[in-house]
Amino acid sequence: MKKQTITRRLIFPAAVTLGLMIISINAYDLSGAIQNVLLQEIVVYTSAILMFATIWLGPLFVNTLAFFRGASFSERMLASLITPVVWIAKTYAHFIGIYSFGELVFLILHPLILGNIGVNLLCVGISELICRHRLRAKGGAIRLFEAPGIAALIAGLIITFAGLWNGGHTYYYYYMDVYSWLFM
Amino acid sequence: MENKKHPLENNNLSRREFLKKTGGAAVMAGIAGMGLGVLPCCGPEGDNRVHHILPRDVYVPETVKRRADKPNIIFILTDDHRWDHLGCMGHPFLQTPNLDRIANEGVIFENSFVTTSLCSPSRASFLTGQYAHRHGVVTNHTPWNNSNTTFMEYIKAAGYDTAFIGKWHMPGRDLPQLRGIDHFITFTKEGGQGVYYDCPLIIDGVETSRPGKYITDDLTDFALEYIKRPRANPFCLYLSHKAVHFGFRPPKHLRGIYKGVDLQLPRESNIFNTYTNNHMFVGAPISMNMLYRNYCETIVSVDEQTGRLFSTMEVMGALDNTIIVYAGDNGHSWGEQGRYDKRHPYEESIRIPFMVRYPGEIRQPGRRVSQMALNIDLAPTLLDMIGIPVPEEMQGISLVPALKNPEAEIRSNFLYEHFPVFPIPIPGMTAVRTDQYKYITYHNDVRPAELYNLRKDPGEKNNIIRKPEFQALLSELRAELEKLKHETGYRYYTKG
Repeated sequence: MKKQTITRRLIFPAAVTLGLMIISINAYDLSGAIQNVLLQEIVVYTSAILMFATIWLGPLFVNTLAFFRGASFSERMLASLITPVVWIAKTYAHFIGIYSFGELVFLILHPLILGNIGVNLLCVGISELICRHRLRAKGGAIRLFEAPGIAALIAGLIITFAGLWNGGHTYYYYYMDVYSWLFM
Repeated sequence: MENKKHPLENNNLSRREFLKKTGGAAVMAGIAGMGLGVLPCCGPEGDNRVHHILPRDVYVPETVKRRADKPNIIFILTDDHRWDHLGCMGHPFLQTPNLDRIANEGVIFENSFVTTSLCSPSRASFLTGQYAHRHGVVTNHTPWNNSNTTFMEYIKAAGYDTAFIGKWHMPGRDLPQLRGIDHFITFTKEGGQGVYYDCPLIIDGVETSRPGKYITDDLTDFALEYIKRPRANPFCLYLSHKAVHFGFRPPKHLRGIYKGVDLQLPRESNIFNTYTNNHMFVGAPISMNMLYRNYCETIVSVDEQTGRLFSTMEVMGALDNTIIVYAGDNGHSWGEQGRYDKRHPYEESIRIPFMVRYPGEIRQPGRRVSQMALNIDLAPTLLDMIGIPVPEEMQGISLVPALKNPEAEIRSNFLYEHFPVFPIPIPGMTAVRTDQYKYITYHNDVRPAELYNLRKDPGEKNNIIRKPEFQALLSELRAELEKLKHETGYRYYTKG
């Protein structure tokens, strides 16, 4: 596979997802002002679906495109995590000034924040398997299972499973117990 | 049915050990006076008896103690039930005939509010008649202080049989040492929030599994059993439902009754509200419309069970000599300007249903009172209704004048307060609400202050704080807010 320019193999896939996320968030936030009910519904549904796809499932697109444009695994991982990191930073902005530095650090382990990282890692792992499978099917000399991709897959699975087990209640209550122990 | 000692109980403390641990305060209290408080379950291992704890200094006039015709009291508290979700408040499809009956045969305070829109602080305020910054339960994480005095203590001392049945939901290593409660049924599952189905109950200190039980029905069953007990004294029942808190699970026979109904949510609401604008920090990834439908169906179950209480009281011939109060612990946003949940200072979050039925005291039943009532008014109102002078420590005021006289003035404004609750991105705040305006300030100015004209802008969509014509009013409201904070002994809590 030919290694394309950094713009094409790394910046473009990341920028598309990031750009779509920014547009969709703003479109969603502004949709309440649209007077036409049908148009409002179209904007709400389109922007909401795009928003969730980019925030939670972005690597399925980013990693896949970067893979076939010759990006290394590190580059693919970097490109894949840009959108979730920006979203997490945006989320963090709402907490700054309310909670202490220690609490903000602990917030990383919140099921929603950690879960976002986990689901994105899972998507990286899934994308890696799909890309490698497709490349092999086309006669490419590539191993289906490579350690970094499998590690992302397993880490993503563990985090996602832990976060969703028992409807998310178990992890959340442990999280809050630890919070109380540390900060109260 | 599996019964086991609940781990949160002080089940290893003997009476002597307990007295030793509470010695200092107890001695002071003992010197001060006599009461009749009890502590559920503080005996040695395996001993589930209810033990009396040291009395507190609660003053109840002898004339009240000796009064033979004291009314029974039933206080029904629900969770997250906002003010306008009642048939009698004109909800477009929700039918609540039994709850409406309280209003139609009593008084509904149409402008009722909580001083903090969050479960635990509000619940402690109902019990103590105090602001959160006074009773100390400022968030769902800060523990109940056993030195707090509840109105149930006074009522017990006045010669009542007392029961607390339902949601306690205040943090602390142990269940509370509630003086003045004879019979205590509660739950600690999921941090005290409980669950709608199969929720284990702690019945006078004994954890008891409840397989197959729907919690609103189950708590009502216990309430009915308590009401029907033969007794020489009047009773005071504090029935505190889990419903209609998040989870919003109706009983099986009510599931889907509002399927296909036009929910008539605000125009700016949509099914994705619960997933966006950080709302996932307070809920689960379930669509707004589904949650709202379940919420309404769950309210119907509360209405049904309230009907059972009415029926039983009627059969017993005790209905008209019973003070019945119904209230919610805070409101709930359902998409107003994209908002979801509570905590914030906007109307749908802070406004609650508050209704009183007591034919013996209320003039012109069916009356709607537009003056502002608060959750901290419950305790002084109930004490006043049975003739106990309102203790100075209570910061609410008695609503009895408004029950008797449609023209009675209650208050011209009140202080709203909220303290940050990790991990929710809502800052600490204080606000003053008058009958026309609301001025909101955020701790450390992390967000810009807000001012709304509630008469012209009931949806609080237009922040008029920068408009020149309101600057004089703004100065007055700022001064009023500072005055209220000073009068109530406000302090900011950083940990919650």
